[in-house]
Amino acid sequence: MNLRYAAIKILRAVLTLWLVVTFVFVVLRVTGDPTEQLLPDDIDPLIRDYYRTAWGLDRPLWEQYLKYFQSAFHGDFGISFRNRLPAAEVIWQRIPKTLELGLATFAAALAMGIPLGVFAALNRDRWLDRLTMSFAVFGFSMPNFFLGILLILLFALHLRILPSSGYGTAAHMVMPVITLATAFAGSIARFTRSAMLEVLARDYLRTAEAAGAGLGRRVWRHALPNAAIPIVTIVGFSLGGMIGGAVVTENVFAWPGVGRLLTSAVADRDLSVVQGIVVLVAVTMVAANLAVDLAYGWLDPRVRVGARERTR
Amino acid sequence: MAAVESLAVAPDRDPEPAPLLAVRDLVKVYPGPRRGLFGPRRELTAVAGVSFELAAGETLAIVGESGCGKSTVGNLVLNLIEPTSGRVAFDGEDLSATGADRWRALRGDMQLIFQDSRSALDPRLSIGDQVREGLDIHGLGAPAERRAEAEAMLEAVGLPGFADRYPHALSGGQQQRAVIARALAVGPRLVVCDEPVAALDVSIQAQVVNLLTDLQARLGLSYLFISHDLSLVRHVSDRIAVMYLGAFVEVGSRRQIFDEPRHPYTRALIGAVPVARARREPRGRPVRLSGEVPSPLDPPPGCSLHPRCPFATGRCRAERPLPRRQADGRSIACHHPEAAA
Repeated sequence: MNLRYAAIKILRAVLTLWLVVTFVFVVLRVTGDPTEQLLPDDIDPLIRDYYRTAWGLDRPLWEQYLKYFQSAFHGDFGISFRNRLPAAEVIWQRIPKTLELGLATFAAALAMGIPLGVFAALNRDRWLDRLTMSFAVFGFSMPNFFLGILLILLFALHLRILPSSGYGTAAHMVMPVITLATAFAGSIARFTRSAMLEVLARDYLRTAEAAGAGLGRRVWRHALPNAAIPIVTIVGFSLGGMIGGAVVTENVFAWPGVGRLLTSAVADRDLSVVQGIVVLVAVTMVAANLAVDLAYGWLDPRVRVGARERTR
Repeated sequence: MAAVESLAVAPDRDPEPAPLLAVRDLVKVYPGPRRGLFGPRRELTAVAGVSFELAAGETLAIVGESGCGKSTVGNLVLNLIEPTSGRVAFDGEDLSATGADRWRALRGDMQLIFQDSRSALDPRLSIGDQVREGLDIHGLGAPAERRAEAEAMLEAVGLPGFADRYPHALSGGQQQRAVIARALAVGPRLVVCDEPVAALDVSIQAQVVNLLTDLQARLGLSYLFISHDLSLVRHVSDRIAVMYLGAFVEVGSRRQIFDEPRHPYTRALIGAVPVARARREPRGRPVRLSGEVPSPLDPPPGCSLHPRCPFATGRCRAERPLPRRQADGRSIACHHPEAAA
């Protein structure tokens, strides 16, 4: 049961990726002949034909698709027009910087969101709860670019304690991480609160209280582990929103990551780079969702123990 | 009003030793919904002044329809809900001003068994760990021996070798046995059983109830047994309190309540029990009540039963009857208990 569950989830992830890669191909072909977009209008038709042949655009569509698919599978998205390097290499160089930002954001969002949500749930309907949740709503309704600019105005221009933008020291990371983590932490706090409220209403928590279990034991041993499944779900799904936010935030703070590369590649019509990034984002999203699905198996004793008891 | 004797603690007339549990004038009022958008909040009186005593080794059943406040009484006794007013005394100790630390220690003496065993067990912990948890909390026994103690307790409720299983792998009856093992592992003196078998099949109910009564005899437990099931209550209880809209209308021995019910509501309730093989017809005509239970948000003035009671008079509509002790020891909250009989 457990293995079948994992196999189905993995199969579904592969299928999703195939659909995304195919979709990128279709969109690029539907938007017209790349030679018309990339070469000047008044160019010699012979030169245009030369490039058509060189890029394989004279081949039948199915052949083009197979070739595209084969190279995409190997991580080859063609040559970046801008700096004459393979697109994959251009993207690859930026990944560590985005990852750095992403991991710091992830850690900061979890460290803020989960305690806030637990705190709000324990103070349900009191003013502390309302205050916490107002912050959470404020956090995720605030657009990234706006919060980022506000932070620059305050910390870089007014207080002059943080660099306004760029990459290098830990100080450079503070504002982008706050910008990204605020929205993420807000949604985690809200989902943690509702998951906790649901679990806190269960009889086993009242029984634990009746048994003399203190607040700490009730929260850490009984409530949070049982509230973990919805929290993990939302954390996984929010990763997608974080990637979108990273594109905006990296531009606001001139952070040299994948997000900034994407905007410049779109502006330069550097198609192979755009293509590569779209596929990369898709892979990240699908991997995050797959990780969430597989985490259920580990979090839910009904799945976990089911497997263990069978082997006895 | 002070001259009226309530059914509560009356030490000058009761030469017996102090009861294990003494509850006096317990009240719980919840803020209800507002009248209109900005109107005043209405109040929901879940428990409207309840008093009773429970002796060591005794079972007092609280019966009544769903929503009458019987579960709230159980939660108030265990301080899982804070009472609006009133007192609870356990083993002579007044608990109304007890701090959190003392309460946590007291919880080893007072345990709770819930109706829905599926929800009463933590799905992520093994049965053995949950039975053991109370021993950990109260520091009972050497840590190394607690595991064995939990297994022994599970064996006592008929679940040998179940310590490593998780709740979902147990049947409903087994889950309820595990709940009982967890409650009794810490050696309580009082157990509040809140509809302990209502979620079980009838065939399993008998097993679990017999287990409860066996354990009571063996361990000298006192049960506060909350149930809507009269045939079950008849089987387990020494005394019975009949509850209607937040108040006890009649408290008496099992024999008094079942064989000679006197309060009109008790008579209606007892008359409504289908009897497969009646050994003795309850004395007096069965009472039929008209209409539905009023909302506790909007209780009728005077006696809360008067809109439905065939014996209601002007006094019933105006004045709320207080529980009065009768010559035979029971207490009734009715202006005209003789009219009903």
